[in-house]
Amino acid sequence: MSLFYKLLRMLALTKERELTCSEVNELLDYYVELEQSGENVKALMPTMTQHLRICPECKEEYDALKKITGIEPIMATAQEAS
Amino acid sequence: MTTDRSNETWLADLQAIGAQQDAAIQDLLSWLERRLFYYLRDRSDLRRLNGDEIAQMAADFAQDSVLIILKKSDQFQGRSKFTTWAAKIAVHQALGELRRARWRDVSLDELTADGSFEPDFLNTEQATPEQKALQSDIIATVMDVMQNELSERQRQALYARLVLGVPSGLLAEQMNTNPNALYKLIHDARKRLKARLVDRGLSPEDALSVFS
Ligand SMILES: [Zn+2]
Repeated sequence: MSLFYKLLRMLALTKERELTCSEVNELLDYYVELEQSGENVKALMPTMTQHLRICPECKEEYDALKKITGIEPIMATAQEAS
Repeated sequence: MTTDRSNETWLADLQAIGAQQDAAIQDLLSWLERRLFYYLRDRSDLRRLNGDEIAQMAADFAQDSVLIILKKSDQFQGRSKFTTWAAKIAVHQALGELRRARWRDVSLDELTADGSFEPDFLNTEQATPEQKALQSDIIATVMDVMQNELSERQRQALYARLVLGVPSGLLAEQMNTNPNALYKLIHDARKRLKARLVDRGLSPEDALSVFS
């Protein structure tokens, strides 16, 4: 993807009001649990979803949190029991 | 060990003293360490590390995180499970450390280089003459705003974030600001660029379609 295209894509995602990274981090655990319980988080928390599309670090932390909290119980409890 | 405490029990145990607190800390530590281990083991950028090294890294991250969690435990508002909240703190801590390590040797000048956004590659082969004219117009508009309406700090920050992918925490430090102020600086720049395109009758979505 050319750099210029990437810039335009960011502009297309730009909103007048956006959450900062710390605001997103504040709500990230809640957002991930809502999503894991089957709620439509994109509709419920659109400003969170928008930030996650535009910010690589918050997206990385979101992916990691989903993975880490989704690990149980298969792998982790097998070890915990040992 | 047990991690099936209620949120209230987690808080009470961690804020207790003596054996009750020790047991809760140990449970939290083990819980985080195992999960961090599986997460780190699957990261493509850590493939060069062996199992023992990953385990050590997970142990160190878990240890650091538990100290932070203990300090912040009175800030837990109960919106999620306590363990999810704790994992969020551990993820923030661990990924922050990994980013810091990755960018450790990059100089301030490189991070904040006043680079050019002049497109080096354009998908013009199949573009019609009208599309090419529109592309030139969009590029000229964006470049004009970049040069004449954005501050040098905005250009530097946009370049470092978008082109180099410098993490915002690190860039904020290098630019003597904080991540929130940096976010606002870049957000204002994006809004300005977007508004100018719209002034010329082009939404960014239209602009994107001209280049794709
Ligand atoms: Zn962010």
